[in-house]
Amino acid sequence: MPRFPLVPALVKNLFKRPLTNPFPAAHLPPSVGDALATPGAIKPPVPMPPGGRARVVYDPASCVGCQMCIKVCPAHAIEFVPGQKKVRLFRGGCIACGQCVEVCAKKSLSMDGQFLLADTNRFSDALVAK
Amino acid sequence: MSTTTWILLAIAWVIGLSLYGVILGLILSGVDRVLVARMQGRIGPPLVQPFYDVAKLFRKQDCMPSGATALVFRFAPVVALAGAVTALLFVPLGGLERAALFLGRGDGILLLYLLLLPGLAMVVGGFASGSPYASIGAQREMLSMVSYELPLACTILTLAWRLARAGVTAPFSLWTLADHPVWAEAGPLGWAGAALLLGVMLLVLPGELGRIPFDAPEAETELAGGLLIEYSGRSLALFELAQAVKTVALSGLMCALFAPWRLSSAWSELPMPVATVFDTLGFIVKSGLFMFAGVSLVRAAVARLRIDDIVRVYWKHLGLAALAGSLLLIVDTWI
Amino acid sequence: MSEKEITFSTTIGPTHPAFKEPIQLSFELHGEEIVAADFVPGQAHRGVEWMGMRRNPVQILYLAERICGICGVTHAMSFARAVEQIAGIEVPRRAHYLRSIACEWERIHSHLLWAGVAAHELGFDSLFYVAWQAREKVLDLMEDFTGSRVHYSTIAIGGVRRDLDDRVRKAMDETLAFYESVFEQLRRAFLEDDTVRLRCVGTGVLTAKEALELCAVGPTARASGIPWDVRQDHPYAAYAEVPVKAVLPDAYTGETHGDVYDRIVVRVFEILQSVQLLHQLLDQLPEGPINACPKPVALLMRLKKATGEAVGMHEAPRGEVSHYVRLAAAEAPLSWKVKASSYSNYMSWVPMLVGEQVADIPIIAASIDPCISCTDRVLVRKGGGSGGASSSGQVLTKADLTRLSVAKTRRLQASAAARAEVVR
Repeated sequence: MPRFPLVPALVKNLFKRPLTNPFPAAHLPPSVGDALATPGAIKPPVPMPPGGRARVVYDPASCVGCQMCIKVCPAHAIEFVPGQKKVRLFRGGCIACGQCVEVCAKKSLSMDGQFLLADTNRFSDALVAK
Repeated sequence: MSTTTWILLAIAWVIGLSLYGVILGLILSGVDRVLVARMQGRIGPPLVQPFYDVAKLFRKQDCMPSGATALVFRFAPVVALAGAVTALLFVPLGGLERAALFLGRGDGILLLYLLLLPGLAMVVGGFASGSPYASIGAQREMLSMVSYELPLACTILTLAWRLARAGVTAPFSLWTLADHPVWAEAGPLGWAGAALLLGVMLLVLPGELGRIPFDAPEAETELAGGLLIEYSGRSLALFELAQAVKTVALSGLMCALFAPWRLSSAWSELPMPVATVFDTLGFIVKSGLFMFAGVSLVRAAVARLRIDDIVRVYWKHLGLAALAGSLLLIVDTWI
Repeated sequence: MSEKEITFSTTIGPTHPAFKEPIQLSFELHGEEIVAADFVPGQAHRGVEWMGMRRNPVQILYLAERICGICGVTHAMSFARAVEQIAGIEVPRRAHYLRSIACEWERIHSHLLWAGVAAHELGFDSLFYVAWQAREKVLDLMEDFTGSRVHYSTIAIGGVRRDLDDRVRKAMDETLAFYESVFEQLRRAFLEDDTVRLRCVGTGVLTAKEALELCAVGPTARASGIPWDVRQDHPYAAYAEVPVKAVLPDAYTGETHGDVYDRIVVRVFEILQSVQLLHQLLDQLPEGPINACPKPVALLMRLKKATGEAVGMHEAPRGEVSHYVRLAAAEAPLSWKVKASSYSNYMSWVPMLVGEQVADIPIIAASIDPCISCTDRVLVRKGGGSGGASSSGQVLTKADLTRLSVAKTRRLQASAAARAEVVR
């Protein structure tokens, strides 16, 4: 007799809850940014574990412009603003490796766990940290 | 009834029945998709997703490759749908046959040929599209049609032969077959034989409908859609509709052969409209069960077969099983 | 029928559902039978090495990680090993163990991913979902351990970036228990299902001789009975203290055929082997520092002074990976050459495919677990001189490419306009 070892599990699955998560929204919102700002518009995604690498946040006040972050950034996503002795971080090109956060002596850079960053303009305020 | 009235009635009946076939077929396809998704641990699409798909296809551009034979390429989907609808006319559909204009006309052999039409139209359309993938797919479709015909014909012949031996008139007519369920008159051996034939027919369903494991002609990961690769827009939608109608026709065939009981017979003296609604609902449930056992469960549980394995499975394994079922039924009539 | 076979040629790819990445295979077919096969790689070239030559080694590490979309440890590990050899950096013992732990988790993840893809190529989507549902656990664990699901960024030059704390350690034990509990189901589903056997037994055979001649590596070679495994032959990281023995199919099925089925056997049992290795690694995990050079500034200075060349090898889930690096006391390396495992395995496609059917192309192509973006490094045209396309002869610069793209767009616009004219 042919053997189909998967069949019992398949039939059992019929009576179980599906393992997939529903899509975060019923329909594509007209603006992802607005939808993110509105509580409840998007079903909460699976939470990130502690220490998950995601969006880099920049605090210009404490930055002394040492440029170490630029030196270690593999994606060339950070640029130096000479006049102000500050940096500008383009999240569109950031690969979230977290090296700049580790190398920063003044703790001006940190990660906040937010990963829903979609935008149609890669130079929008949401995607440039300055 | 005058001829003109009859023709007008027939036209109305054909249109109504096509709509019924399309809607029920698409719902059955949606149920299949949801059930398979659940078996795989997914949420799956909404039940009406096939309707969205077809509606979207109808709004899309209909492209034709420059190397295609235009007339044949355009005509094949129409022939496929026409063939499927015609097959539907000669199949008992639960309660609806009370109003059927074609009641008692046509028989199992005619139905076998009509059921071949959508597949043949796909083959012709595949060859006409001029794509090498479609050609390979069309060759495979022809081979698989030849293959599943053997167990299919064997089953219908056996069941009709029983009736002929019992002295029933018009044993090949599906309406007659539906009036004499095989389970009612057979002994234990006959039951075993009929169960074997039921199993064989359930495995013919995925072949007829081009589903895994017998979907080598379309083989998504090998031929990227095979004989349908060049079809798009309206033409592809017509093929989808033909497939939906064929699903209903095949369910009707399965119900007539193996589960012809009517839900309304549980109560006596039901008024006709109520009985028709009851029987139609019963038919839909029965179709769903047959499609789950023959299509959804099978396609979730196995891998796709190569074309030579398809021929081997249908001719050798299922062919032998069908013959064994026939033998059991024959022996059953002797004792 | 005439004696001479009538064949026709067809191609599959560069974009085709059988491939998850662009590559082109061309075939001579006789009916459904493949008479001759060839392949044309090069469609996924991204110039990663060129980019690397303009960055310092600390930056390259994370660039190297992104050569492949699946192996988050593999390329970083090979590159780090090469650079450490040049700069004479001694990796602490605990870091060696943590690296091995990351490698083994990655192997489980990669093999499950492959198993799912192979099942999909066979048209067995339920099995695909079973494998990928199991894979979810290791992704979640790696996110917990390293901070990301795929690109772990956990390897650093001189050690690793993150230590293993008690919470993650507990999660690892739970995940190991999970894999031990589902392994039997996976094994039966992949190895005992009769439709899978029907499709895979005897399909795409690569004999041991062919595997040796064509320099196959990893599970592809092991399935043909070649007991090669970098972890066994040249132990690195913690593999000297936790010995590995190459998984061969005959240990489980009694004989070696070198077919697709044997490749499934090898990968399925390597999942089990990795689970056992992880138990040992976690039990023996020593205390101590996790990085020899925790200060990036000091590390960058040290690498800037380093001179020399080295090859870093690593047994990736797909087979041996090697990175050649040459540093010459400068910010960026003088040379960086990546040889991914699929580069060695591509050639074994040809003997595997010839004589098989069209229906077997997807599963045979998938059976070596090709990583096309890993392999496509650079495309060199023989003979130079590209027919006036380039201003400098052999090398097409960005300006050349822009000019050619504009010309092609104009051409397409003209022909589209002409066609529209005809329709009117």
